[in-house]
Amino acid sequence: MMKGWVGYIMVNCSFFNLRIGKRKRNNGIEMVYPKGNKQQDSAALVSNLAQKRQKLENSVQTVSEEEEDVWLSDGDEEHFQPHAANEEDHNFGDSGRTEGGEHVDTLALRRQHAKRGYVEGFDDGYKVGANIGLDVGKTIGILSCLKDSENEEASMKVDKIWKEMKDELFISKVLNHKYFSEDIELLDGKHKLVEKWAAAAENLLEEFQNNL
Amino acid sequence: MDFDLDDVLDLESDFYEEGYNQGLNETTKQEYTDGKEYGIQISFQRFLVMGYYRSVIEHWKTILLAKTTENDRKASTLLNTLNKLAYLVDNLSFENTEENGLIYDSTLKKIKYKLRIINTQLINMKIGINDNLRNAGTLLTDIGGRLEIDNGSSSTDVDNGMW
Repeated sequence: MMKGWVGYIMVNCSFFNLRIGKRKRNNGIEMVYPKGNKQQDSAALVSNLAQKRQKLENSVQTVSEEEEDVWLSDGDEEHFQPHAANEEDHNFGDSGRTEGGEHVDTLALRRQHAKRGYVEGFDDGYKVGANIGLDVGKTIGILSCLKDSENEEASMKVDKIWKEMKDELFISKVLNHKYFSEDIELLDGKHKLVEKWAAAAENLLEEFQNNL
Repeated sequence: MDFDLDDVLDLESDFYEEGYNQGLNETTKQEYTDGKEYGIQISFQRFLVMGYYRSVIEHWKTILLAKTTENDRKASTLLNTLNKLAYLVDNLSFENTEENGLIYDSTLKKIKYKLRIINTQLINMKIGINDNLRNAGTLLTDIGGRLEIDNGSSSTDVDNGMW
């Protein structure tokens, strides 16, 4: 079981590498990790992870120190070498491994998975948000038209609830976690807040239409 | 008792695979969640304006029908146009495809343009319709914030408290 978690940690540490990988490459730090981690015992893996973390922390620290010295200290120009001068920065070497010790194929697979996951999530969310946005837009549209109408009674009634409506239907209130399940679907397929205001708008609209 | 030594030796490999896949799935799941939240936000903002215009169209139709006669040619032309615009909004797809994105953009452009013209005509007809588009832009921005663009910049007030 523990070894299972080691593998889990490896993935997440590698993902961390992925996120700061560009910075590391820019800094020109060569990081070599042993091949064949899969067959090593857990103690060796944990040790490698500790070394890896230490090197990562060192590399991040070095980058931030360099970034702070934007203009370089006096005299540094002579010693300064562009990062791109290092050939190692531009390839993964003969081992086929990235600086994070991960095989390039694995890295590509992870990126593919992550990207696909994000895009699929976006598409699924798009349908949910479109329905909510349309309903909120309709409600605002009705109340706005009634507010601007020549029917004073209707206009006054809308005036009374206008500020409250704007506050409550503000995007961050509508897209609050409390209206969604854990997998970001509407609870019972309904948005209580949006439905509340839609019903209020419909009632006022009906009154308005009856008086036309 | 059967005892396969290979199975024991493979245990480590199996555990590693299990842990690796679990981590990969967690990463993908997080990406999915992030994508879904962003998708909801973007489409909310995109369809908010459509919903608003849909209600304006319906409001104008109601007043035109109530305040004009069937013989009023101008009114019937306007009603005809409004019905066409309502049809366009009602038939927008919620699927996020490139084609649907283009349809959305052209529909929004068409509706904005047509409604502006109709709005002026309706005000001039003096049938109890005021300028319902005057404050639409500000109102919709107040409710939905500014739409995020590809470079990832966003209106700060939109992010506040959401998700």
